[in-house]
Amino acid sequence: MFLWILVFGIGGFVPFAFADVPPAFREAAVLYDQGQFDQAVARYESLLAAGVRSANLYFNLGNAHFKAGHVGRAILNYERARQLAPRDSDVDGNLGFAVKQSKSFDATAAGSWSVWLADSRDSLTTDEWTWLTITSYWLALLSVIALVWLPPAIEWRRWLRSAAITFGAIALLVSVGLGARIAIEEGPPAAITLAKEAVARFAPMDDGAKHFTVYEGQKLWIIGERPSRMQGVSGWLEVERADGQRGWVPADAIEKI
Amino acid sequence: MAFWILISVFCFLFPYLAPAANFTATVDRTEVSLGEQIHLTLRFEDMPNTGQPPQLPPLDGFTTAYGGAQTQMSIDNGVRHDSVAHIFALTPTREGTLAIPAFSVPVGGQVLSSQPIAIRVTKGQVQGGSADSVFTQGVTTNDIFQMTISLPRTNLFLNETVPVDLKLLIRNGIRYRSQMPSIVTTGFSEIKLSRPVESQEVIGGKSFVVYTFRSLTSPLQPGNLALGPARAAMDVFVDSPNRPRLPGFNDAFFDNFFGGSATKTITVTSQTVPVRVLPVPDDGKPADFTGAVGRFALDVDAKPTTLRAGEPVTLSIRVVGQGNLATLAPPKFTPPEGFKSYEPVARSKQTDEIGFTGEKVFEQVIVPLSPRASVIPPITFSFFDPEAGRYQTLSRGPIQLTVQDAPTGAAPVVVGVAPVAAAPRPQEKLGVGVVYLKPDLGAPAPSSPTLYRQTGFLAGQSLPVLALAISFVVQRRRERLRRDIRYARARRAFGNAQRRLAEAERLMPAGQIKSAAFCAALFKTLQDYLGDRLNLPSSGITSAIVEEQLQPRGVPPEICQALKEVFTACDTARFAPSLQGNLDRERLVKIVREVVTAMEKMVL
Repeated sequence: MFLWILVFGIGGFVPFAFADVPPAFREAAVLYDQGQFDQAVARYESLLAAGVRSANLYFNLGNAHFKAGHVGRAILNYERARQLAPRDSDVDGNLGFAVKQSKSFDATAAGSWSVWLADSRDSLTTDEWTWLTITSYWLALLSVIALVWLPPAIEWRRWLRSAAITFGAIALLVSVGLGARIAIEEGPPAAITLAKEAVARFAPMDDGAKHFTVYEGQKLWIIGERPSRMQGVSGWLEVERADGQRGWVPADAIEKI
Repeated sequence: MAFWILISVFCFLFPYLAPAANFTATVDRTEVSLGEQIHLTLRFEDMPNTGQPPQLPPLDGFTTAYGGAQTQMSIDNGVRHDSVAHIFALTPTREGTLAIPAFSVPVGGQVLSSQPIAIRVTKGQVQGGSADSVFTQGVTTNDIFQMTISLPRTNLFLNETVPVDLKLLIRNGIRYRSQMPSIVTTGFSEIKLSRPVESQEVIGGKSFVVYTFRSLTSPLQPGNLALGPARAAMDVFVDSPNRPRLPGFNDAFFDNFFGGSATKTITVTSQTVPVRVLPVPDDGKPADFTGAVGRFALDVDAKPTTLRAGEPVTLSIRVVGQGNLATLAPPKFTPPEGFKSYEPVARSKQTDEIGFTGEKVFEQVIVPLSPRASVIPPITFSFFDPEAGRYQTLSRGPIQLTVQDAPTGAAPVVVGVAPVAAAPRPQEKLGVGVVYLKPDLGAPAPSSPTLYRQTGFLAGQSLPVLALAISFVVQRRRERLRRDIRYARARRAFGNAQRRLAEAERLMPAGQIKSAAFCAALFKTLQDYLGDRLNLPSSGITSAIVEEQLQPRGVPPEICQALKEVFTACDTARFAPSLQGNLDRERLVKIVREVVTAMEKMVL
C-alpha cells in the first residue's frame, strides 16, 4: 500500500484532469444520445485531430463506433483507452463485450495462464511500472546507504537491513513486469483489423496465395511492411496473429493501436 | 577488317553444322544531346565467336569506344543458338542528323547486312517534349506506360449506373512513384477511385505491372458525352546524363560517383470514351416508376402473418440486382384502409467491391387495426432495364394475414377456487451491454516519451549507486583513520605543517626578539611533521633524527642536509642567540616548505 501511495504520489505531477470539457465533447454526447452515432464519431475525432488525447475520449469514441456498427474501430479505440487507463473497469468491460461480438473472438483462450499473465502485465502503464521499479530501487539503495553511515551499535540497523532486502526483492520483482512492458513497447506494434474480413496472403500482392482470413476486431502484430509506389494507395503489411501464423494483408485493412 | 574476314571464313566452312546466321546492329536511342553517349550493339547470332572484338570502321561524327561483349545461348526445338553482342559507346561530336552506316558481313557465300541508323544530335539537353512524351531515349510512351478506360457499353441511359474500369500499366523495371489517377467526368457523376488491384501482365513480349481501378459512374445529362481522359502524374527516375552508359556501369551504386539520377515528372493520359446518353423513354413508363435503372428482382415478406388487431406486422420489401441501388426509392406501397403504417427504414448491402450489385431492403411496420384488415395488397416495383431497353414491373402479393380480435376487459373471477400461490421470483440474469459514455475528458495522455526512453531520467537512476559508492569509500577511509594511527598521522602531517609554517611566516617581519619565537615555531613545525610521518613522539624529535631515521630510510642527502641546516639555525636561535647572525627567515621557511613537499612524495 505504501508503495502504491508513493508511486502515484510521485507520479501525480500529471494534471489531474482537463480544465474544461470542450464543446465538441459535449455535442458528441448529445448526438450519441440522439442515436446519431456517426456524427458523434466525427465530433470525437475532431478532438483527436486537435491534439486532445485521453482515455475517456478514446472510450467514448469506441462507444460511438460500436453503436454505429463499427466493431473493429470500437475495439481499436477501447484498446487505446486501455493503454492509457489499464485499470478502468468500464474500458475492460466494453472491450471484452466488443471482442465477444466480433468474429475473431476465441473463447478457448479466455482464462488461460497466458491471458492472466498478460492481464497482470497490462494492469499498469509502462510509466507506472517504471515508477514502481525505481521507487523500490531507490528505497533499497537508500536503506543500504543509511546502513553504511549508521554506527554499528545502533539497534535499528537490523530493520534497515530487512528494509533493504525487502525493497531490493520488490525492485527485482517489479522489474520483471517492467521488462515485459518494455518488450511490448519495443516489440512489433499491435493492430486491430478494421475490415469486415481480409485475406492474409503468402505474398504482398492481390493474386498471392491465400493463407488465412482475419476478421474485424482481430488483434494482429505488424512485423513487416511493403509500401505502395502509388500515392494514396495503401501498401501491404506483414502481420502475425496470436497463434504465430503470418501473412500479408492490405495496409488499410488494419490500424495500429 | 581481320575480324570480318575471320567471321566469314568460319561461316563459309561450317554452313551445314551452324543454324542460319543472323547479324543485326541496333542502338539504345536515336535522339541524343551533344556530349551524351549512345550504345551501338552488333549482335552476331549463330556465327563463330572468335573472342576478338570487331573493329568498327571510322564513323563520321562519332567517337567510338568498345564496351565489351555479351554472349547468350538458347535452345529452340532442340537446336542450339549462340549469339554474341558487341557493345560500343558512340559519342557524337557535332549536332545534326548523323548516320551510322549499314555494316555488312559475308557469311557462307552470302552477305548479311544491318540497317543504317539515323541519330539526331541536338545541342542542349533533349527536352521531354509534351506532357505526354517520356524520355529522350526514343521509345514511345506506350512502351513504358499505358492507361485505358473501359465501360461495359457506350450507349447508356440517363442515371444508369455502370461500372468503370481504369487500368494503369507500367513497364516492369521502371523506377517510379505515381499519384492516384483522376478521371474527367464532365456530364457524369464523380468517380471515386479506391485501392486498385495490382497484377502482372505480359503484352507484346513486354512485362507490365497493372493497377486496375474499379468504380461506378452515372451519366447526369443526355446527349453525346465523353468520359475521360484519365490522368496520372508520375515521377520517373532516370539516369543522369553525366553517367557513363557502358555496360557494367548501370548499377545505381555508380550514381554517387557519376552524378546520380534525375527525376522527371510526366503525366500519363488515357483515351476518352465517347458515350451516347439517352433519356429513359416516356413511352410505356409505369405510373409507379421512381427512377430505378438496372436489372432487379423483387421479394416481399411479412411477419407475422397470424396476429391480433393492434399488433405490428413487419413488411420487408427486398430489391436485389445491379444498378443504381444507392439512390433506389422504396417501391410504392399505400397501406389500405384499416392499417396504420410507419415510415419505412432502408438497409443496403453490396455484394461486390464497388456497390454495383447488391440488395436494398425496405422494412415498414404496419398495424392492422381490426380483423377486417387482413390483406396486404400487391406491392409493385417498376424499373427500366437498360440492356433490354424497356420498362419492367414486378409484383408480389397480395399477402393474407390472419388477424384476430384484440382481447377486451379483464379475465372473470372464479368464486370458490383458492387463489393460486404467487410464482417464485425467477432467477435474475444480469444483462450485458456497453457502459455509457464518460462525462468528461479525464486525465490527458502524457505528452512526453515514456520514462525509460528519457535519457535524463535514466541517467538520474545512477545517482543512488553513485551515492552508495561514495558512502562506501568515505566510510572506509574514516574507519581507517580511526584505527590506523600511523596512517592518520601521516594523512594530517602535511596540513598541519602548512598551518604551522603559516604561523611561522607571521613572525617573520618581527625584529630580533621575535627570532626565537620564529625559530621555535619553525622547529615545532619540523618536529610535528617528522613525528607524524615517522609515527614517533613529536616532542622527542631533534636534529639527530636525520641520521637515525631519515638517512636509513633513503631520504635523499640534499633533504637531510637541508633539515640539518634548519635544525642548526633553530637550535642556535633558541639556545645561543648571541652567536646567531642575521637570520634569513624567508629562506628557512622556503627550505622547510620544500622539504615537506618533497617528503610528502616519499614513502617512509
